[in-house]
Amino acid sequence: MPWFRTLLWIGTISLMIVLSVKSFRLRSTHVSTVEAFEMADQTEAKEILQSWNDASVEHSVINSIKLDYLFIGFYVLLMINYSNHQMNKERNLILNNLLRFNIALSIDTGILDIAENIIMMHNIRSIDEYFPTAVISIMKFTFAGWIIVVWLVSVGKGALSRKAYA
Amino acid sequence: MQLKRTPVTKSFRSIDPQFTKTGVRRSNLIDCLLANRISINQLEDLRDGITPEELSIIIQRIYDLNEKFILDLSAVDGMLRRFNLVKNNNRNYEFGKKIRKGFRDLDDKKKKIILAEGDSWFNYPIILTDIIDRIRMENNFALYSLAAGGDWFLNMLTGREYVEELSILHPDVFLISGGGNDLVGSKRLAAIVDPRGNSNEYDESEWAKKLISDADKNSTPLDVEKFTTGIQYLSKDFFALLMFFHLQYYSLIDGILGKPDKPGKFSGMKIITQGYDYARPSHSKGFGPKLLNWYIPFVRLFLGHGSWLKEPLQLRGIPDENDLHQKIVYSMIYLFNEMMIDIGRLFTEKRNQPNVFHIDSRGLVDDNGWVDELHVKPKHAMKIGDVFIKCINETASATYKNVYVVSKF
Repeated sequence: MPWFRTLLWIGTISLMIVLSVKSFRLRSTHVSTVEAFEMADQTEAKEILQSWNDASVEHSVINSIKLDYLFIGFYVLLMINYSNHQMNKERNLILNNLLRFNIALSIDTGILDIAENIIMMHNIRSIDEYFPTAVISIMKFTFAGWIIVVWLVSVGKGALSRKAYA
Repeated sequence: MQLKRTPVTKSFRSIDPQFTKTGVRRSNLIDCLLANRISINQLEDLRDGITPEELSIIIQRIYDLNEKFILDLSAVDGMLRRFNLVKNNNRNYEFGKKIRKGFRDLDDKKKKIILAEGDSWFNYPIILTDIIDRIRMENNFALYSLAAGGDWFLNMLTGREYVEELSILHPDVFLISGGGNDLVGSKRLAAIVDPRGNSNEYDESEWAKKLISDADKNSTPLDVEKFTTGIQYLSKDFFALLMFFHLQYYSLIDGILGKPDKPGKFSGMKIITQGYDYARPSHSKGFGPKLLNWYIPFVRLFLGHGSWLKEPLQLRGIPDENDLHQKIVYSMIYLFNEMMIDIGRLFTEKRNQPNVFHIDSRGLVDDNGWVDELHVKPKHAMKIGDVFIKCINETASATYKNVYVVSKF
């Protein structure tokens, strides 16, 4: 259904823009971004949190994390939709299975992102009971990267085969 | 699925005065069919000129329900209906795109317009790649799909959506897959088995015995032990239902192709049927270490696994000793396929040209090849789809007569 995919694209891109603008604003006030907080160890996290407090941007950071939940919903559905659609066009069995696996990986990516956000909120509230999110974050980006690579390989292969037919 | 016809229940009396060409009262033949005491000649007699009203009466009496209840029972609704629609909308959107790009070329015989009507083997709406998905991957096909997971053959014939699309699309090929849900949907399997296992209904059915004696056992071997054990658990209602399918398919195809002396608009169209593989009764959730099989437990937990075959057999108290449940399903599917093959033979003989082909998947899939009780893994669906493609493109000849045996390719 093209309208559904269009809706997902609009939602994903709009939220990406909003989150990027918020991130840019943080950088312009010379404090670290949410992404840096994700990858930080306890000492760095304490410093970042302190800098957010000093610049009075903690509220904006929390808003970004809350908005990220909505972003997760859009991008996970987008990845599922595209993988599923491409799977039904992919005649190579290995790629077909990998695209099906992408559906599970998309859900996993979303779950990891939600878990990361919950932990980050916990870390912001009580930094002394810090729980690292770097591993979760790396896994999340690896999964998302893998999903995109598999999809691109399949789409590229399909385009070549259609060109050969034409 | 939205039914286009308002269900009307007609009384048995309304067709009572009608007689067959040989002067036999048609209602008597219907009684004989329902009792599984009908000869081959009588069945042929009844088949000629079978009407939708007569088919309606037969099914009402097999299911012991009036037509409205049967149509309610067979209707696809809820989330499944929505998922079916989403998948078909995607397929048909791309069909439209191809057509708008000028796909149809009457001089290019390689390009085929295909219409597909069927059940979940043709439209498994989520996660799995089904037979139609594989067929659609061919660049020289434009496929329009009416198939819906969970749809009953009865519902397809009553809804008659394919009639409208046939006249609009004028397809080169019509694919049909139906009957599975009529047999096992809504726990109907429980109603067509004999739990004591001492049914002699097969011996009473001259027609079923002929199907088995005519079967090409070199191409699709018959496991006599499995078949003779399983068949003893099938009641007269199973045989009545199988004959009902025979009449339905005959009526459907006859309506499309027309009579030899009075060919219809679609007399040159190729019709391809399929008859499933030996489904696997099971309650197993399918958890395992293979990551790529992640979807199997998901499908089994949430999408009806166990409720089609295993539970109805248990409901009737049939023990699963010596793989008995599998043997019952084996005999059902073996006969179902032979019934379909016989339909193709009938039309080939009647019209002196092969229009109706059957894709025979029996024995293709081993125990590990099933996603749930009824559905095969994508690699097998794609293999079956490959054979459909060979049949449509005529790049391989049939294994025998009008039959393509998938395991032979």
